[in-house]
Amino acid sequence: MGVEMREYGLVLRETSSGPGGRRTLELLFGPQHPTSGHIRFFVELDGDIIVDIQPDPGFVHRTMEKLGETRHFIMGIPLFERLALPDAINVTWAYSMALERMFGYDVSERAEYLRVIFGEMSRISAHLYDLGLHAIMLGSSTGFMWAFGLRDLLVNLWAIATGSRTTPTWVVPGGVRRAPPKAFYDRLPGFLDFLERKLDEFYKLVIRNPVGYSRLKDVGYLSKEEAAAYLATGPGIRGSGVDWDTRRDIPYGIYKNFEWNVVVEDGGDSLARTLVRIGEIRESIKIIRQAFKQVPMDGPLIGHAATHKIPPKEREMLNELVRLSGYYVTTTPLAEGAGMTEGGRGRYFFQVWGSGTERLFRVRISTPSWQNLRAFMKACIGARLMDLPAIYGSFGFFPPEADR
Amino acid sequence: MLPSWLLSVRLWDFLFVVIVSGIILLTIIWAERKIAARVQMRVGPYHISPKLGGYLQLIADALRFLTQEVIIPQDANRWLFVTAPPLFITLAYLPAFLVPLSPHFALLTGPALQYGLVMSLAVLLYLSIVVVAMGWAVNNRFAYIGAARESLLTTAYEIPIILALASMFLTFKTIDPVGIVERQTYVVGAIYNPIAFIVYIIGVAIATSRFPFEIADYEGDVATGPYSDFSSIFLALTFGGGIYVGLFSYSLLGALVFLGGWAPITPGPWPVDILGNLAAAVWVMVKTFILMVFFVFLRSVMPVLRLDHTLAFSWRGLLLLSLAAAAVSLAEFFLL
Repeated sequence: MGVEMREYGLVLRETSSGPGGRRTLELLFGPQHPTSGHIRFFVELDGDIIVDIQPDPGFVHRTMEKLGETRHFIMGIPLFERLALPDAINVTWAYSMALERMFGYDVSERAEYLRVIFGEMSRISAHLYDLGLHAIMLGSSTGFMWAFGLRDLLVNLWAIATGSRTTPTWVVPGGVRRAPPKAFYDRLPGFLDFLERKLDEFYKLVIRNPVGYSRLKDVGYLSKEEAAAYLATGPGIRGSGVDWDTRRDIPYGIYKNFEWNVVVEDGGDSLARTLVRIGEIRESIKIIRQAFKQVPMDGPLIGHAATHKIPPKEREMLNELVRLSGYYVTTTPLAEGAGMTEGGRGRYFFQVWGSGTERLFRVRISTPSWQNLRAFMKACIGARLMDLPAIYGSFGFFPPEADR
Repeated sequence: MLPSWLLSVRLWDFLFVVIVSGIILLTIIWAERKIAARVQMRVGPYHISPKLGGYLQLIADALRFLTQEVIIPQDANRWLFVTAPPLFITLAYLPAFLVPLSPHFALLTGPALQYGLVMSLAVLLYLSIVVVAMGWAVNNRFAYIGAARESLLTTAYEIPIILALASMFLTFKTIDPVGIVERQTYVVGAIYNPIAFIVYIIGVAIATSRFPFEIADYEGDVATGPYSDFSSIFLALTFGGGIYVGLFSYSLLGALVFLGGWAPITPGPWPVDILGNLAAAVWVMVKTFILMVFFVFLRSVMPVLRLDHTLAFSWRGLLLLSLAAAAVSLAEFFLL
């Protein structure tokens, strides 16, 4: 009556599938949406139920792989850690590992221990980041603030050791760039104690909260077979009961020296994935405490092979810091190498091909969020619209990392 | 000798309500932020008036809202888009003028005052219609979904709130607010019928979209729903401030019916002069403020409940609970 449906009314779409067709509403979820992140979802809603969801990624595609070919290989480290800033150490570790295998570099013992400590801190950082965002997606601002507050203490420790809160650029081929000062060792145990205590409170407030529990339980179910078939990774697959962790199954570093468990939950829902995250923070604390007792306080920061490229004057201070001048005069061999680490969100994979110049011929990157996207979409189908943030956060999906 | 109009009770009541409710609104939003900040290991509002603990931040925010550009989306129904927010805050504010704040301190007199509580409730329950109208006027899909949710939630809270207040009317054998408060001189309504009090608290939390029932304007999926395209003064009138005014009115009703209104802790009549009446009104406002603090505290500890869970909880739990409250009151009606 005078009002056109096109102007004022739900834009409904008739689809012929199903008995008698069904009327669905297409919702453009993102990229400018408080919880979508830099991605768009075409959500098809039948009432409150998501019947179909299509991702539209690529809004933060930064041509990481191509940029990796256009500059000196050592410049790739500050570049690639921008893939996933919360998990910077594990990303750069994978890239450095690939370079080490290409060059044939060894890693010094001290650097191995330091890498484990920082890699686990990086995992804690990524998990806290995801838990915090998951909490705010569920509406719990307190969970968000606590997780980010705890992460702030962690990045302050990073700042003490590496000079930067978010972009440490700390792992270099053959070892690490700087030795942590005494203040770092002084403050680390206290932080771990506080984290453990506060994590229990977080668990009680957000996950054991009857409201939070009902938001997570039986939401976004992903069976074991589906999780494996869709190649989910990280908490996405361990939450569905698949017992797989790069640190244990494709060993790297010195993780085999420590006692720790792979956290696996059988639920397959958002709750299980969140519990995996919390369990992994506890395991990481365990690993850091063991490594903290054994870490050598003195010794070269990089392995023998990489030391040869360092000028003699700068070689004298290798126990304290590594000047990058030696790397800048290194050219890549005609070889290839691959590195794989387990980050907070799953498996980071780097493959590099040398070109004979200082630039790499090709860098191939595979990131966990991109892998988890398919499983994430699968888990959304049949859920309610209000479950979408709960599922999103449970996978810890991070569009900048997925788009590369 | 003061002119007679200066001693008018209505004038004093009007001024009191306007000034005190304004102060309460400023304080409650400030308190919400400060309490949440305290829980969340941070400072909260600080940079504006650091000596007052950031209390004037709200005034700065209000000024910003007032001076912001008014944006009306091209596809919106302009007429409704512009009229709904003022209507929202008017309806939310009206109950404060319909109920007495002491036996003599009211805008209304005579039989009209007796129906003050019922009228207030009727006015407040119209708020959801305005919210639905806003969602429709905005003409975007998130707002539509939010408006649809609001109308679904209306079915969840409306009957329990009405039943909770109706059972209190049964308990007190009157709907006259002055009479209701008189009967609470020694025992407050919340003790007469605790079930009705619980039902009322939950119902109000849903009605004013307090956590964990911030569903129609849930930021996670519908991006503040019906309010999603409102900005500047419109946002201040609805999502930024109007909801708190609604909360104030609901809390005022709760304070009168369940917390004893101006009934003193110690027995004995208030002085009937203007100071005594003012003191009674302040006492009502203190109770209102305490109720509001409880509601805003929920933000610090609760995530958001799912829509279908809320509806199921409301129809299976809250409705039965409110029926139980009515049964309790019925027993009291015959026994007391």
